[in-house]
Amino acid sequence: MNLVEWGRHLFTPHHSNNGKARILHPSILSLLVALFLFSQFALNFYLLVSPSVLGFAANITPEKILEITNQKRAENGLPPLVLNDKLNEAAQRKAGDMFAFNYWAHVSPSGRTPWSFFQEVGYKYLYAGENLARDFMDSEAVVEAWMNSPSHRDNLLNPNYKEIGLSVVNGTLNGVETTLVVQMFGTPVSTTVIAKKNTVSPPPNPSNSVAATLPKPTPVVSPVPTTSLPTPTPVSLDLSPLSKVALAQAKGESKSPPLFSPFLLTKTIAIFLLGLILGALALDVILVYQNKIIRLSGKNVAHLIFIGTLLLAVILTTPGAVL
Amino acid sequence: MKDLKHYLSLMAILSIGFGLFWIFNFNREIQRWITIGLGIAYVFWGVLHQTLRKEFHWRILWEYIIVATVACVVVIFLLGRA
Repeated sequence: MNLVEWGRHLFTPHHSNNGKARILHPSILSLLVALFLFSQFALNFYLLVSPSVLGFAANITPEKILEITNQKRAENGLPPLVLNDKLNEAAQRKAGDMFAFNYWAHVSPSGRTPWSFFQEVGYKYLYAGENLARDFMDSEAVVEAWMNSPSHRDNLLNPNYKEIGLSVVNGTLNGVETTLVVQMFGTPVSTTVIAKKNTVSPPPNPSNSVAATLPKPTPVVSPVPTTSLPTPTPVSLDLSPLSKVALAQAKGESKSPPLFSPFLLTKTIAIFLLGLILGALALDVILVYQNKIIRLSGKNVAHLIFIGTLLLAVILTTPGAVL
Repeated sequence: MKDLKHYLSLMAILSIGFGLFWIFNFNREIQRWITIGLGIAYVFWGVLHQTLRKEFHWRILWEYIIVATVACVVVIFLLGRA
């Protein structure tokens, strides 16, 4: 079988393939799934043996995150959040903990909650919340993703929060160079007591990271900057050795330039694979219609619509996740 | 005409699924479940469609399962990398 015949056998309905492009036979589709899975396991293995050569480069700064966050609050008639050193420190510790213990969650595998970081740095809160993000390219995309997620949006636009802490940390998570963004919100007990001395204060709610508080239109007050954003200096906290390594990584002390992103590689393979199947389906539909081929088969038009929808989902998927 | 109704229902299912996928952008866990749901819904649609046309055969069921699996596995793994 020469190359032309092989191509015809693979991509067009022919007597050699029982009237259906060979690539659309369940056996070949199964083989394609197996090859895709193999490529992913190979990539995972490569990430394990040489994690520093794959990666992700982001342009996210705490200053910009704060600016956009307060901009979004202002657009909703809410006062700006004021940076707090203790919250910055808590956010930094949380990011270090995630890298040190290799997890991506609000609660660590050992059961450590976000609120323990507030307590560690001595921040006594009446209200507290946490937003997490990873693998975004820039600050605007991070805040936009939070705004598009109802629970994160509630945190960003929560009128109960007065202060904020931020950390943007680079490191290696599950073998991949990652940029983690930790945003911690809080209202100190003292401020609220003073502000509401003649009103009944709501009870402390430490689990309101996904609080569904609707933004209340209040006059915008001028920001009173009482603290500065975290500077890239080594953190000398009572962290575990692993945390210290992670924070050292976070400060960019042991960096090598990323070669390519595992996400982009997987996306390219995904688009190629689904595009190949989609093309074969489209060709099959046309040739079956033209040649009036009768066969026992599923509906290729339906397959075409289904694969096309998921291909569109793949194309529109961009790196980044919020939690 | 009968087929048109079937295809319109398929497009409605996929549009809702795609819309949810878009709404929950960056919430990877929910997007994974939406993708799995779409795959299952597609196989059910296929079985129903072929049965109503009196063309159902186990080989056809297998074909729908494989097509759904290929697409869903690819999307789920991509979400894992995102």
